[in-house]
Amino acid sequence: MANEKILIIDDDPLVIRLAELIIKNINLQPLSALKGEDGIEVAIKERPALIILDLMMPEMNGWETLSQIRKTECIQDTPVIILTARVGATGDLIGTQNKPHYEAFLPKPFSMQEMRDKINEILNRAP
Amino acid sequence: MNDIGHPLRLLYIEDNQDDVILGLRTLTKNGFQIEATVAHNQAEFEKAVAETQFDIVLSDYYLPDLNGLTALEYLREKQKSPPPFILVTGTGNEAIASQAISMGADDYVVKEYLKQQLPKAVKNALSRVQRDQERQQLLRLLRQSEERYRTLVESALDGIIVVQNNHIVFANPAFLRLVCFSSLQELSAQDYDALITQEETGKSDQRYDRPYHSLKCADNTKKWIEIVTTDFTWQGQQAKLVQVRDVTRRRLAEEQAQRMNETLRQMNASLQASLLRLEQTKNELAKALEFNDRMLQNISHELRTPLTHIKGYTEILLEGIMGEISDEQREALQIINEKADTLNRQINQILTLQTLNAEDFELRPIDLELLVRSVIQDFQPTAQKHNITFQLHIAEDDILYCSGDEERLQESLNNIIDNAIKFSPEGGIVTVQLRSVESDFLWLTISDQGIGVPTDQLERIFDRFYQVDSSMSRRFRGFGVGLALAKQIIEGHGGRIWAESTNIPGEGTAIQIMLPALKEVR
Ligand SMILES: [Mg+2]
Repeated sequence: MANEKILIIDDDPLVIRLAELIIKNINLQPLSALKGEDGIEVAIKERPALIILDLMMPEMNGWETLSQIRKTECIQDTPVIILTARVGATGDLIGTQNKPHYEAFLPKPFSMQEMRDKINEILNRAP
Repeated sequence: MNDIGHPLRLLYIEDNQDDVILGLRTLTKNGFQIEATVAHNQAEFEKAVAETQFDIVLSDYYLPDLNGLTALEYLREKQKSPPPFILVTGTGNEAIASQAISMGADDYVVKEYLKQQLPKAVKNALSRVQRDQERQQLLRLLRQSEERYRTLVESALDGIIVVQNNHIVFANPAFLRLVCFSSLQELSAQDYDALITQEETGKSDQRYDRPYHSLKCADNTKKWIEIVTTDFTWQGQQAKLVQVRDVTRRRLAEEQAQRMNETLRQMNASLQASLLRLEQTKNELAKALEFNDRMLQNISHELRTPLTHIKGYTEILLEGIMGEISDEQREALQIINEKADTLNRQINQILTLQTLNAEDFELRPIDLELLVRSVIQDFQPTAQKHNITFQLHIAEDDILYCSGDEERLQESLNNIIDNAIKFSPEGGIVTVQLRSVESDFLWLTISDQGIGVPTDQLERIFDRFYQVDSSMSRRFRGFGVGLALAKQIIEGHGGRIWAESTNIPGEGTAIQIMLPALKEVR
């Protein structure tokens, strides 16, 4: 199962770099996009096993990107981890009513361990 | 022959008895029933007239102390309705006879033709009387009838007038009173259409679609009236019978009701406007609060983004992904990582403080002893680092349950213990005491041996971002939002929290917490 592709979509290049380091560290292949539209294109082309998706992005935001993913036939079943700093005091995701389905979410700031655990959990891999 | 229902009361003024007998016999023979009184002279005549109301009088013209004309005159003077009078004269006295007729006698009879003329004369006279009486009766009835109608019209409350050629030719007292004229003459001088005019505004009676009219009164005031007009004939000429009712009071009442309605409508409108303004204010307030929340969310987001970088890259370095690191480097990186977590916790606490709502607490029975022990356990490593020890005093026989949101209560205890450690000197003792009060309250005391808090500042340490003074804040970190959040959580559970301090260095500060006890567990 090695070399599965993980796509990270985030407008913050520093977060992209960080995620790439973590993903490579667990022997997976990172893909990245700085925009929602680009991310969808990459996803259609590369068919990643998992998408990590930032919510706060200019132009197409995370929720819109997720809607597009869910509507695009060839990638609509791809599991998605929502990544955001926009969480409530208790660390819950805010404003999830009427939003498309997502598999997990990871609040920023996150620890390496948290990100590894979430990825492994969704790919159903032993850590 | 006579229809008067009783014998004919007859006065015979005659001094000649033979003539009397002849006359009476003639009448009797002709079917008259007679009750006769004979007056031979003036005295007897006057006496008889005074005593009896006669049905008919026969009188000779010439008597010794009386003549027929005098008698006739006397009767007409004395009696209101004198009986019919027939004069009996000799031949050639036609002049006297005609004088008698002109004085009111019914007839005259010539003595020589008495037998032929008398019955007929009596009969005619009686008929005349009867006709007169019938006419009187008719007139009386007519008068009574007219009287009844006049009473009706005059006592009617409505005005009743008759109009011909645009002038009032009859008005009842009610109308004269209404229009304030004292007589019909004055009123008749007015033009009817100047007096009564139809008004455009409103209907006096919606059911009959009857418009209001106004009446111009003599004193130039205006009254509201309602009229009903009927065409009819009055004294042989086309006329209008107009019934007039004063509805001024009703109209004024209607106007008042209208004004009242208008006022009510205005009041209602301004009430609606007020409600609208209130609603707008409420919405603006809600928007402001929402904006506030969003601002806070945005600020947290802005702060968390660099924290994500700091924490993330520190961990990358710590994991050795970028290459081997020395122990000293590791220690330094661990401190950075820890502080990034602290900063993140503080951001979360500020958010919590702003958005905490007691209604959102998830209440369930909580063993406070267990919670306290676990919090202390969590802080052991930190305490040990500063050579600080915990002393735990828990009343063993007391039931120490409360109803609460475990996560929140833990958060508030964390903050209080964290503060206690923070303010303790190296090697100090943090004492934690838990017992129940009359099984109504759970009483938790957390004391340190720090420098204490000035008594006048004791309440303020629960304010957000409170710091005792600038010199203290240099020596110690501020209270931050930890105690403020603890207070909010404890009070949200119906409890109380306060601080006690003697301000003697070494005696430190005691945070006291009272929480309602849960009496029935399970
Ligand atoms: Mg972003």
